[in-house]
Amino acid sequence: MKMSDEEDLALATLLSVRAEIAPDLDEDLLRKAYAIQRRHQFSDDHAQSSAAMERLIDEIVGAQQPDGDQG
Amino acid sequence: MKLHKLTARNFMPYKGEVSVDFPADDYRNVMIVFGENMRGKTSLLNAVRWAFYGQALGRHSRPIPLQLIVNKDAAAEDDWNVEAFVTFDADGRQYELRRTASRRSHVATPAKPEDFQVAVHLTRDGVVIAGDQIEAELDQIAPEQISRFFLFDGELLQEYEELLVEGSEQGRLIKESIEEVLGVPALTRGRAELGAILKSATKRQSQEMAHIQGLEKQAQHTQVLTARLESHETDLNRLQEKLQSTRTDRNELEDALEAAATVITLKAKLDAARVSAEEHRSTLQRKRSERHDLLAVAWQDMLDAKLEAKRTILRERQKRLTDELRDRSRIEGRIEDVKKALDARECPTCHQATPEKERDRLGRERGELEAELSRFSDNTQALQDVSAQLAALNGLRGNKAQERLVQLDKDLRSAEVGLQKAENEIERIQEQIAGQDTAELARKRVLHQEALKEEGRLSNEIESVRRDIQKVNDELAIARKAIEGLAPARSKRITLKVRLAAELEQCFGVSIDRLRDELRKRVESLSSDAFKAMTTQKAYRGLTINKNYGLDIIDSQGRPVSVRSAGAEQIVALSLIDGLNRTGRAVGPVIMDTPLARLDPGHRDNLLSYLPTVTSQLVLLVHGGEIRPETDLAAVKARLGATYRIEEISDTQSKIERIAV
Repeated sequence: MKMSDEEDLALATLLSVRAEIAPDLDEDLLRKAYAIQRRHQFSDDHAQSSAAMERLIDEIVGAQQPDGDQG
Repeated sequence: MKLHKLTARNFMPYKGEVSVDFPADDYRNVMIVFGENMRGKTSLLNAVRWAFYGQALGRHSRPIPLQLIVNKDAAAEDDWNVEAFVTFDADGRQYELRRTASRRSHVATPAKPEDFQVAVHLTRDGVVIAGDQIEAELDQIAPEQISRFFLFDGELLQEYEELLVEGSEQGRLIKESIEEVLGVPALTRGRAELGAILKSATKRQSQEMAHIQGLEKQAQHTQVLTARLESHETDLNRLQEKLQSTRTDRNELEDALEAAATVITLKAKLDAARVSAEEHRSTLQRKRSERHDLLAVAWQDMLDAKLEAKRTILRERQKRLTDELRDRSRIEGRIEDVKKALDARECPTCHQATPEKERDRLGRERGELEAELSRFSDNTQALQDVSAQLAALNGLRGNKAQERLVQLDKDLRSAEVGLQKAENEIERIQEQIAGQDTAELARKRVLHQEALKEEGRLSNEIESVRRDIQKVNDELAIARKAIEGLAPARSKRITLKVRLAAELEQCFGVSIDRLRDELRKRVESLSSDAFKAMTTQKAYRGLTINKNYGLDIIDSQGRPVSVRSAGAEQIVALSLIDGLNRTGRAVGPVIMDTPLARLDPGHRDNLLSYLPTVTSQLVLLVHGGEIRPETDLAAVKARLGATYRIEEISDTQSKIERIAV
C-alpha cells in the first residue's frame, strides 16, 4: 500500500517550494529529509527521526565545509 | 496489499477458532458476509482491526476493553485466551501477523485490560520482525490513522455527513484528523523537528559568536529573540495541553451525558410535572377561596326578584318626575319670552308698534301658560329621593351565584384531576430514576457548557501565541541573514548548519498549506469521480469540496444542490471516504460494515459495481435488509470471490460458514 515517489504529492510540493524560495538548498538533502519524515510520519516517537534529521544536516555541513571552524 | 486469511479464536461471539479466506482473484475480489444484527459482523471487522492495531472499537469509536473481547462462554470455562491471526501480502512480500492476549498468571478473573498479557508477532517473507519494529512496519503498509477509511462502519458514514454541516464541531475535528492522515504529518513533523534543530543550532551559534569581537551585539540580539521564542513555545505547549485536557474532559462529559440522556429526559419531564402539580395546587387554592367567598353572598340572589320589581317602579317614577321637570322648565321659558314681547310694545326686528290684536293674543297665551304652570308642583326633592332609593337598591344586586358555583366546581374538578395526573407522573418518574443522581447530571451539563466556552477561549489564546511565535521567527530569520553576511561568522560550520536547517524548515513550513490545498483538490477529484459512478442521477456534474472537506453536489447547471435525501448524503459520504482512502494510500482492501442501510436498490447496485474497481478487495458485512442473496446480487455477481454467512448458535455465540450463492 506504499505510494511511489511519483505519486507522492507531499514530496512534489516540497520540491516545488524549494525551487521557489530556497533554490540554493541541495535538492538531495530535501529529498532525504522528507524520506526520513515519511518513514516516521505515523510514529509517536520523535527521537529517532529527529536524530536522523540532525545527522543528515551535520553530514552535509561536514561535506560542504570540511575545513570550517567548528567553534 | 491483499488480505489472505483471518483466523480468530475466542474473539467476541466466536468461541474457539473461526476463519475466513479472503478472495485471491484480482477480478473476483468481492467478499460478502451476511449476518443479521447482533450476530458478529462488526466483531469480524474488529478482529482485523485488533490484529493490526491492538484495538477493537465499539460505538462512537470507543475502544472495547480487552476483558470484553474474550468470548463470554470461553471465559465462563476459564479460557481467557484470545487470538487474531492475519496473513496478507504487500509490496510483493508475504506477511503473517498474530496478536494474542492471555490472562496474567496472578489474575483469577480479568476485570481490566491490564489483567492480560498481549503479544504480537509479525513475519515478513518468513523472517521475524523485531518487536519494536512491528508498529513501524505496519505503519508503512496500512497506517492506523488511515484505517478509518478502509475499515469502517455505517457510523463513520454518519460522522462524515457532519462535514456537510458548515461550522459543526464534529466537522472541525474530522477535518483535523483528515489533514493529519493525508500525508501532512510528514511535513508537520518535519517542520517541528527542523524547528527544534534550528533553535538549538541558533543557540549554539549565539554562544560561539558571543566570544568573537564585533559579533557580540548580534549574538546578544539572537539570544534575546531565542529566549522570547522559547517562552512563547512554553506558553503554546501549556495552552495546547490545557486545550487537549479540556477537550478530553468535555468528551467524557458528553459520553456521560449521552449515556444518561434518558435520565436527563425523564428529569426534564419530572421538573415539568412538578411545575404542573404546583400550578394545579395553586388553582385549587384560588378556586376554593373564590367558592367560599361566593357562598357568603349567595343569599343576595334570593332577594333579587323582589328588589328588581321595586327598582322598576322607582325607575318609572324617576322618568315621570324628570319629564315633568322638563315640561315645567319649557313653560317657564315661554312665559318669559311672551312677557318680554308685551313689555317692549314693538317688534324687536322692524321696531314698528305691536298691533293691538297681537298684544291681545300674547296676553291670552301668557294667561294660559301661567294657568298651566300653576298646576305643576315642585318635584325636585321627590326626584332626588327616588334617585337615592334606586342607587341603594342597585347596590343590593344578586351575584349569579348558581352559575358561578357550577363553573367553579367544574374548574375545581379539572384542577383535582390535573393534580392527580401530575402526582402520578412524578411518582412514576421518581421510581424510574431512583438511584440516578440527577443533581450530578445537572452539574455535568453545566461543566460541559463551561468546557465548551473554555475551549473557545483557549483556542483564541493559542492563535494569539502562534502569531507571537511567527513574529519572533520572522525577526530571527532577519537576524540569521544578518549574521550570515558577517565574515567572522561565515567561516563557522554552525552558521552553515543554521542556514540549512532554516531553509529546510522554511520549505517544510510553506509546503504544509500548499499540500493541504493540493490534497483537497485531489480528494475533490477522486470523490467526484466516485460520486458520478455511484449516483443514480447522471445529470449531476459531480462534487465540489470546501476548506473543511464538506462536499456539495453540483447539478447539471453548475449550481450546488441544497436539499439532499438521506441516501444522497450517504453516497456523498461514501464518495468522500473513497476519495480520502485513495488519496491517503495506494490501492488496498476495504472492509465495510453495514454500508448500504439507507440506499435504494439503484444506488446500492452502483456502489457494488463501482467499489470493486477501486479496491484490491472489497469485503462487505451486510444484513438481509441491505442485500438479499436471492435477488440483489446481479450487479456484483461476476466479481464475487467469496460469500459467508454468520449463524447464531446462542445469544453469546456465533459461527461463520462459507456459502454458495
